[in-house]
Amino acid sequence: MPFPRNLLILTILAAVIPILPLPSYFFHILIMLLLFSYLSTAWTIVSGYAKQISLGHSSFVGLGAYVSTLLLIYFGVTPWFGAVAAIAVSLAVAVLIGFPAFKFGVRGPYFSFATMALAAILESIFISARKITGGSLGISIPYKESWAYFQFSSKIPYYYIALLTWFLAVTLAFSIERNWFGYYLMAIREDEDAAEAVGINVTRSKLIALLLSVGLTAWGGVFYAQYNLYIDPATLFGLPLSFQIATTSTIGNPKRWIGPTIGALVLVPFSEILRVVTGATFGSLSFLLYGALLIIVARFLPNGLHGLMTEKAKQ
Amino acid sequence: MALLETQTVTKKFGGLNALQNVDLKLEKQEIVGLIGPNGSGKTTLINVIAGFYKPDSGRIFFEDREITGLYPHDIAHRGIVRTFQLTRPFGNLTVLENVTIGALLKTRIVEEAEGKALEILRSVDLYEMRNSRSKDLTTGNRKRLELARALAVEPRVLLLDEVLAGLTTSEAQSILSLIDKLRREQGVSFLIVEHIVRAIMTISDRIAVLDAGEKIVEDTPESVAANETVRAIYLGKEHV
Amino acid sequence: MQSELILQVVVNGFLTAGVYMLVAVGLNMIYGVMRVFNYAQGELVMLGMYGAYWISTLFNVNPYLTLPAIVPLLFMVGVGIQRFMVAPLVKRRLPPESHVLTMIGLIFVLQYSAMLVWTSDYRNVVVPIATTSISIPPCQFPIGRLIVFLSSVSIAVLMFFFFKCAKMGKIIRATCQDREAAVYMGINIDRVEAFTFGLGAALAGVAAGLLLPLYYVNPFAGFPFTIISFIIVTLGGLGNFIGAIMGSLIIGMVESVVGTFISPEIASAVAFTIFVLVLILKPSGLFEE
Repeated sequence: MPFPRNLLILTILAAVIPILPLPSYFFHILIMLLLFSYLSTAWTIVSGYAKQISLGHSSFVGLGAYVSTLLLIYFGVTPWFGAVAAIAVSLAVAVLIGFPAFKFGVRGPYFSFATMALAAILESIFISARKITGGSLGISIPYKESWAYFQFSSKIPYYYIALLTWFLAVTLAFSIERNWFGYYLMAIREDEDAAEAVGINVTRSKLIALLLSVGLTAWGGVFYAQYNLYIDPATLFGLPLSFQIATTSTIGNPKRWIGPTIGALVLVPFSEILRVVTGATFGSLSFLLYGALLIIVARFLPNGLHGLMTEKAKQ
Repeated sequence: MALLETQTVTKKFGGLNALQNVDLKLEKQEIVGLIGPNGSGKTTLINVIAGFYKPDSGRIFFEDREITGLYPHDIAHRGIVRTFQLTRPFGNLTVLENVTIGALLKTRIVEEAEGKALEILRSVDLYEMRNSRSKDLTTGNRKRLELARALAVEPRVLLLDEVLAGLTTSEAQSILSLIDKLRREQGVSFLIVEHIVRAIMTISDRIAVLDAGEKIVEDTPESVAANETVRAIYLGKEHV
Repeated sequence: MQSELILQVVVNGFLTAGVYMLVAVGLNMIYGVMRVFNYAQGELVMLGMYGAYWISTLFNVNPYLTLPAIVPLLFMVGVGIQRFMVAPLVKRRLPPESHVLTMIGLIFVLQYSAMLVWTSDYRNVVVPIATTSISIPPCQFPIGRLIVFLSSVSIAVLMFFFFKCAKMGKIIRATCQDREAAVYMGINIDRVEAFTFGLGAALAGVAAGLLLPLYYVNPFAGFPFTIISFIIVTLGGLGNFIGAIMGSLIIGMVESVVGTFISPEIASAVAFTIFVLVLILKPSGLFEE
């Protein structure tokens, strides 16, 4: 199967949707859906394929958003270039943490915890540096619609950019799955020592997976900043975002390229509906049910919803 | 220098001397058997040669180059591959995927690696099970998978750790024939750790005996069998 | 006077350590027996605090007096969590990701249930005696924190003897050391696990009752405890009881010293950095069993 037909069909359908006169809110949901699919797909490359479970991926969303935004606000650098810097910074941080961690065999819950610690440290730093970053009040990006400044008055351009980057991410994930690198990550996921015994440089492979994941994630942060036009440390570096990214992928199927997208297809509308229905207690009930859903999926669906779908298809 | 050579290798764990000044040589196309009571250091020696442990002192040479302290993946690259005493397949992956991963060391193209893997599976008689999940296999098949995966890496030296344990007589016999064939046709050298003494006596060119981390004897199978010290260690027990 | 300040900072360090000790010891025990990391330990403290708050405002009693109710209640919650959420995962041999996922789910459920019931307003109970201090020159000892410290130490001592002398304590230690052997010896692992989780939760309950007079509670107040406990337990060595105590002292001291002389935020960063360093350099913990 050279290239999944389903993916192409899905993408083409998605590309023509804007022809219909749909309300702006609808596109907002789609954009959020694409963004979360994208972030979760990036996450899954290192945490699903290689099973180095990161619970602090918000670190890189935040870094992406803040680096490009600060460059924009203080130096007038267009976010398109700012993104390059943002990705570079994120990669540097990832190497700083990832290389010693992998080399010294920091695995399992320890690794997860170190990533959480990273996000928490970054959050403190960006809150403390009030003069530069505005502290916990965050930064508002001044409205200046133009392609050069990566801002649009309509949601449609954002939609297409989100669609394009999602497409690239899942294509990357898909091709990794099919090639030798994906096989190596699977081996690492199953048994790191056995992988070493057959010649796999486990440390290097993990690091490559991490860097791919982080680079993609940082771009997600840049996009979010330019779409939302407001960033703050608690949202961007916070634990809930990290958890959301992780669980979106895990619910779908963390081991396959389409898993995170399926997870997002279920969870994003789900939380939106709850948010609208429950009004005042907006996030609470959705997170609560979210949590219950996680517990159920963990117990009954080790291969996520996608796994369930493929099993049903076989029967 | 021999193809694979350890020189005064010593390894301690806390207060325990797992290996003491072990000198071992393995020549090209040779089969050396490594026997000894439980806890004598056989698996530790394998771990040290394969790079999973770093020796506290001593050196290891392969093809005239030093490999002491290299990472396991480097050592595998150079041509020394080990199997594990308690088999460690990539559990949730299929038999074919397991062996393909081994083959990917030499070729980065998945289709080619798969082709090689299928051939190897045929030669170890696992072709029928190629799409089974490896954690579901019987012990006998797991051992074969472990061997197949190691073979896919195209080793010049194979370190086998109790590859016959848990097999029926006929299964063990087929593995032994395979080992012999590999030695003759592909020039692979073997260092085989075994408990099933009779089997290893028949196939080895030389036998080394470890006890409490020290090499007691290294000689032809007949001489080792006749050796008083060795008999004492084994208390005259016969192994099937 | 410099030396007075230093002395006070050291005292504060001990008092802070007392706060963390209870939670960390409970967490440690759970890991030791079940090799499961209870990411929701802090949430159990949070629940306990809300429970204490509720009972004390409802019946107009001193929060300290709610302990006899809170502790058994949390014990049962712990047993419940173990029975219904953790045990099935182990029985079905599900991979560790399932544990993580379940724990995250549990955290969300607990946090947002609390949010729904009590809203995100900060709640507290004013207990005048807790905020007054005893003066033993040159230092101040806030009574509330002193109570926490003394209780922690007492409980730590109690737990020490429990593990050393009590039948159940020895059973728990045995299971920690060699689970399989314990099964062969006829120990009912299910019971032991349930009991251990319950005990860990009960310790969280004790912490909760003692902390309510000192701190505000909100649905997210529990998580920092989990984080600190994780750091402490890693420092001390997973499953190492004495290590958890020593770890608490170290972290308490670090927080007090760095927090006073530099800033509380940097104190957290330092704690995290210590954590990462220990992880890389001595992952089995700083203290031998």
